[in-house]
Amino acid sequence: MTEKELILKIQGLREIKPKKEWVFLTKREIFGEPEVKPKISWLEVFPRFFFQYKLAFASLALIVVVVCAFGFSQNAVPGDLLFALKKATETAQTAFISQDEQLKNRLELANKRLEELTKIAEQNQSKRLASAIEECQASVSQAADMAMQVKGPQEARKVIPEIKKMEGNIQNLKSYGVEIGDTKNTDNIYKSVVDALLKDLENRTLTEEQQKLLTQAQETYETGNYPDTLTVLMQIQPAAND
Amino acid sequence: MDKQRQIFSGIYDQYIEKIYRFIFLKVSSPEIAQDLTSETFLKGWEAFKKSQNPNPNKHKIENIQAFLYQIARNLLTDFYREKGRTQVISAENIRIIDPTVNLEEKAEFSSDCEQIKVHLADLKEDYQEVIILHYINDLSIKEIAQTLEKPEGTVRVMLHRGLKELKSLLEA
Repeated sequence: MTEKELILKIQGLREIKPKKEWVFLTKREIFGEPEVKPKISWLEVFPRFFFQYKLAFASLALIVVVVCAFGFSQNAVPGDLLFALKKATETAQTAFISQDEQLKNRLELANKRLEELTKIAEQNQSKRLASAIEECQASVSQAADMAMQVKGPQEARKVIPEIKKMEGNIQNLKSYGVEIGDTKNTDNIYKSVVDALLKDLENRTLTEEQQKLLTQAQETYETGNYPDTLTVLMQIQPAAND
Repeated sequence: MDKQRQIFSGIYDQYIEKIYRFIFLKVSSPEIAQDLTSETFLKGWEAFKKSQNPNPNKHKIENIQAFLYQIARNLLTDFYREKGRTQVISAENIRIIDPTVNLEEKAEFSSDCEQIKVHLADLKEDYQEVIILHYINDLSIKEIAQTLEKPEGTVRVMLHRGLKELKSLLEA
């Protein structure tokens, strides 16, 4: 037997190995119960994290979308996708307005629609024109209905600036060649306000000059020219304690 | 602590088979080999933890392999002293193949290897150790010299004489 052969035979003893179970158990005994840290890969964590916070993310995203949509909708004009949202917001706001302010609010909304229509006319957006006119008509009609329920001179006086503004908006639209159609509704608004003011002034003690103006207003009223009647009436400032 | 555990866990995985084999070839009993191997690593772990302490007065383990073999050798010395046994076990009484090894492995374990194992046990302790460490556990002469705390030249001589004696025993 050569030395090389002997060495090869000795190396055969490398086959002696402990049992794997014993190796494993001994290791556990030596180190004690190891702290089990679950191995979680990102592939496992991400879906868990995602689903756990899915609702929160969805809610947050929804809030962001609603806020953005609300912000953009304020500049929307009839024909825009967000115009419906703008109208819904306005309707919701109306619910929180007192009865005394309802007419004023309706007139403000009517003026908004008129301004939007003016903007469309300015930009020559012919496709949106029809829907914008419809919106104006509906809004003015609602204001007219509300004006018929005007309760007294104080409420009537409060809405005069909005009525005058409406008059200016309608005139402005005419300069672009746009008519909102039947003037019956606007006439009714004027008439309701003028009626309330005339009735009040007829029961008051007026100065000679105020009486003259009242007479002039009554005469104009008889002709059916309510805007001019209102202009005259606005010149009469009755004493506060009357 | 977790880092120390992690490091020593690697050491355990690297040396468990070699230490077990070293002990088994000297005690020829798998149960005793398992007990002494466990104790070797337990003592090694305790010493390793202490050596990792930042206290500069503590002794640092320079060579973990030599350190583990030294613990194993000390435990073997204690074992034989306590039991009043001799390290030279007759060929008739020893079980060459680790009985915990499965039947297939037993079948593969050649009769030549059995003979080697028997006669290895008949060698002087020093020769036995250098042959196991060098040819079975793959330690270099330098590593054996560090483990046994003997000059490399002495290790070479012991290895040469050990092989020669083993050969003569096999050919007898």
